[in-house]
Amino acid sequence: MSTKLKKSKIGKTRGDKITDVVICAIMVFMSVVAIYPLWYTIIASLSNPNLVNNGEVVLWPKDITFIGYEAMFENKSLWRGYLNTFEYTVVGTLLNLAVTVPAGYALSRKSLPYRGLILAFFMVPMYFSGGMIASFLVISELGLYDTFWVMVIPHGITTFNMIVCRNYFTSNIPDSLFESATLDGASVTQFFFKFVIPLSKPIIAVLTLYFAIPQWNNYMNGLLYINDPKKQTLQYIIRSITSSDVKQDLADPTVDPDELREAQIKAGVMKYSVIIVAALPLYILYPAVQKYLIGGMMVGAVKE
Amino acid sequence: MINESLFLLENLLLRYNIHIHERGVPMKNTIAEKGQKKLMTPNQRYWMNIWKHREFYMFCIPGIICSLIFQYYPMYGVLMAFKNVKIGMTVTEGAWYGLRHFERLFKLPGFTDYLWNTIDLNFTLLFFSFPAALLLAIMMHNSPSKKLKAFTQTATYLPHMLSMVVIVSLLNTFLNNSWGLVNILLKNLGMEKIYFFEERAWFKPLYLGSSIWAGCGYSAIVYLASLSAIDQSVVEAATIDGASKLQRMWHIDLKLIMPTIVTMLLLNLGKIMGAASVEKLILLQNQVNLRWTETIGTFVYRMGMIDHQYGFSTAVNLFNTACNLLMLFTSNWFAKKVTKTSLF
Repeated sequence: MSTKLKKSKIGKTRGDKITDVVICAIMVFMSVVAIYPLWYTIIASLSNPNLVNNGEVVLWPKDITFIGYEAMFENKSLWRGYLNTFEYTVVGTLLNLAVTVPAGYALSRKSLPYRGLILAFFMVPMYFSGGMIASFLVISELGLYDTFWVMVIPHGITTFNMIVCRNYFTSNIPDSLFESATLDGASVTQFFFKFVIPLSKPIIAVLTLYFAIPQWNNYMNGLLYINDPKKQTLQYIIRSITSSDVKQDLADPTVDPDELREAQIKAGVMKYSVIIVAALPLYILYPAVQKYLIGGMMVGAVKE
Repeated sequence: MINESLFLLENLLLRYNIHIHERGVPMKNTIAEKGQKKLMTPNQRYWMNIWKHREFYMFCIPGIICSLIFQYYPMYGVLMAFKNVKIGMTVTEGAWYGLRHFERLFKLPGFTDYLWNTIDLNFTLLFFSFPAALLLAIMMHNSPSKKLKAFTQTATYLPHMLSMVVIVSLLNTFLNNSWGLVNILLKNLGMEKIYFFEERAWFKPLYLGSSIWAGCGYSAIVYLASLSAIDQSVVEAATIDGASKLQRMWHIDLKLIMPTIVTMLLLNLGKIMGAASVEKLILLQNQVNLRWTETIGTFVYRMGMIDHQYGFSTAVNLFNTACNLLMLFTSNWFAKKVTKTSLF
């Protein structure tokens, strides 16, 4: 630490100072670009829709109103989707962790015979898959179509995450610890639960986020495997609210045009607040994981 | 056969018991161990070793079962590419159909368009997004201010947590031709509306921009992790020798994380015709832009899930996978030759 302080006092040439300024400028630029769309969505969701539609809301909310959020609370299908996706995400993430962490640990032991073969077994599907139709037919054949479990089980193993997990164990659980524990009479399973799990808080935090993000955000699975609107996912419902398909429905003579226009206005008001509410759960989860993100992410050598 | 395995099991259990009795005793160089080693034939020692690791194998079993059912069983389904599959059949059924699905694919009028769209879009995406993430990581690593680094990391990671559905609605929020912010501002300035979603020239920038926006912060994390593992003494030595910050970034940071860069590049090239973008493309497609947004991935979806031509759709997908594998093996071979880093 002290050497760092010394270093920053001396040895800063003019060129280095310019470099620092350029670095800061690039970072600020990237941050602003990354955040502004989200910020705009927040202020647009809180502002008077007429002002938003006139382009008067750009930096700060104007004429604050909550009608977007009110309209959203009245929308029952949205909340059902929210609850469904919440269940899928919690169960799915727990299942993913239960499958991935033990396998990742086992594959981190260098002494394991046929370790490379098992690893290869897990890695092949990364590059070769049966495709959408084959997966769909298998899921139908197993009777999982349109059930709760189709959103949870088929994604039980994600090779990339398992490798990240394995690499963490390789570099963080020393062999000597395992040896001394087993010499004292602990079985592998005991060692796993008493030593490995408590030592792997960072990687479990990171994996939780990595599993929860695709679970929460998944649109395709709802589109492909769910038919019953009561089981539909949040993303699918958001899509039906925010997409411009409403316009096409106007041509449908069986729908009452006034009713539809009202629905359209409501959808217009809701389109910003829906985005905020959909993103919120993961944004709440993120701060808990943030400090582990870099430490947990060691890709490096995939082979060995 | 049964006798043999019983004998083996008995033997294993016996060895295991001995092992239990000897637990807690420092084993090295004791007479007991020497004697035991002499007693075991290589074959027995082999099985003993596997038996010793049985709990580790148990740990892998849930993953293996999951993978077998949901990844390997569908792989068997690629045979549907050579079969005539009808609705209601499982992946193992259907009459053999030869190469007729492939013949139809290669003769399809739109095929070259779809192929070109796929290659064009994915390579351009890799070409822009890959350096962007690397640049962001190196900037963050060399940031003079810790606070700014933490802020940037959070800010750029936030879009990664949004779903494709939300990203596409955000695109609409800004670019929609009737209520998007950009078009409203253009109208206020008295300028012409831009039909971002319907014009061919706008599609690629729109797609690339939103992909980089959403993925840059996440992709940077891998590099940040490997940058943080750089030995600081190297950096200090270079500084004392008078290397400027820019030189250190170029000659130390970039050089030392080269293995990670190559690994990530290979992982990306291995799925260059990728299915990753199908979800987004489907969300972006409309009647007007279909001609230049249809890629092989979305064509698989359209043929299979909407037209229910299971055999044909699988054939298209198999063609796509073959391209990916070809790309993967070529780039892996190339990387091995040039950089000595490779996936396998």
